[in-house]
Amino acid sequence: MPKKDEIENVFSEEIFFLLSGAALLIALAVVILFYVFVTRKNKLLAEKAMSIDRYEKKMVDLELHALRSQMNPHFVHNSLNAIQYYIQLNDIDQSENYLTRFSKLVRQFFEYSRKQLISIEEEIDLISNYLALEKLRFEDKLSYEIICDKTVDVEASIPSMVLQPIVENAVNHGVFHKKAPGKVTITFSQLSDHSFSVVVKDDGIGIKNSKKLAKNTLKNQESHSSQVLDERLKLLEQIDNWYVSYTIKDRSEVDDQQGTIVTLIFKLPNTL
Amino acid sequence: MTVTAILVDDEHKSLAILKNKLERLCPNVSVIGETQDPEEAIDLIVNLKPQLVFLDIAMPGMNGFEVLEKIPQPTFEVIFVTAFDNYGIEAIKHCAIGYVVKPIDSQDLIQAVSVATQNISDKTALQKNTQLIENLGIQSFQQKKIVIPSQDGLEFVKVEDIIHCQGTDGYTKIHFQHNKPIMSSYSIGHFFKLLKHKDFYLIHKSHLININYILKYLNEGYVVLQDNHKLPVSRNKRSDFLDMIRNV
Repeated sequence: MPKKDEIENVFSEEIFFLLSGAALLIALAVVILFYVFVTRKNKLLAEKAMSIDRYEKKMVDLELHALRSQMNPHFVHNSLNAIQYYIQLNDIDQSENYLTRFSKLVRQFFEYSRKQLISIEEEIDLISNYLALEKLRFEDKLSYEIICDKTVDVEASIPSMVLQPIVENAVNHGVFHKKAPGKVTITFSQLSDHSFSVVVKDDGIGIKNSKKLAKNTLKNQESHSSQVLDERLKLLEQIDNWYVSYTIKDRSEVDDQQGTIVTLIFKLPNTL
Repeated sequence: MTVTAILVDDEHKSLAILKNKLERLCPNVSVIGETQDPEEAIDLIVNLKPQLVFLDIAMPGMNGFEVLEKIPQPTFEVIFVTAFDNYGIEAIKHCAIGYVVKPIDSQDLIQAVSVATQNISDKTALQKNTQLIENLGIQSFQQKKIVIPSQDGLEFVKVEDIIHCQGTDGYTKIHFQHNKPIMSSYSIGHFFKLLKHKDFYLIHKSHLININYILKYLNEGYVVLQDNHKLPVSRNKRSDFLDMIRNV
């Protein structure tokens, strides 16, 4: 009998040993897991902090970029050149008119480049001021129209610094190279409660020809404005949940006419 | 000396400004033709053979450089007129060609016209214009040639061959890989602006070096170049210079 006892003893000892071993292992595993979890968490936090840092830096970079792409030096100097013309003519009214319009636009550029969002009304005002100045330079060679559907809520927000560079491209790459007078049409339409579109259409030489011209001439780095736009739209999506998509089409592919059509679709952040 | 000139600019306003200024400020310039159309400019220049052409850079369809390129023998002096064109202005400067920016400053215009008037008798325009066209077709900065006015005329030097520029009393001595050094009456500041590129570093107020020729850096603050020149690096530039070297 003692044998059986002994066996049981040995057995229970073995069980005890196994159990305590298992407990020890579990404890160890918990400790390790906890350690891994804590370091992981710290690492994630650090990464997040770093990405916020990087994000903020990128944001500042982009604001500067946007400002730079809007305050196109070409535009600035050409405007001042036109003012010089009226000064030479001794045309005080026109000189002053030009100068104050220019000053107003520069003010808007500075103000809006600091903001992430502006109202559609403000955007329309900026675009029409910009086009009015270009019209003073191009005279009969340029006409423009800004159409805003009645259903569009002009108080609603729109990301700043997105539209103007596109309109500027229509003028400088489309209409500029066309021999006959050209027209730029900008149409705001409400698509649904939570989305609207802006179509920038010109009857210039078209994006295909414009690209060809740029390739033939200087290896200029002027055309990186679309890259800036892409980056900006991507950030708007990541940060503010604005979803903005756009397409650029040569009109020869759309309506058998000459020119370029850029379509932007803005989806409001809270609807995603 | 009377100089015959043609004005080319797609904007009538710019043509009017320039003409008005020339009449008032540069009486030796006689405007024999003007056009807003780049295509027409080529015919006009070929037929009227002006001594000087004022050429806008950004024009519809064809820019000012292309107009120049399409003229078989561009033997005239050029003064480029531009609102803003970083790339273009750099290229123009490299070839010692004149330019003014819009809105045109009266003093700048008088200066550019006076330099161009002097240059006409030197008959170097064809070489400079040809070099400009050639440079515009070359991507790599080191492969381009820059034009340096020296005592006996113009020197066309490949950027790649410049080892370093040394400023002395307002003059600049330029050292080359193969050729003898040349003296230019321009200051070192002029070359600093002309050779604005990451390959050129102003290690000292009178030494601009092509970093491709650095043999070694000595801890006491000197660089040794491939032509065995040992040049000082200014104390306040050392850390920036070393950072730059490490990143190359």
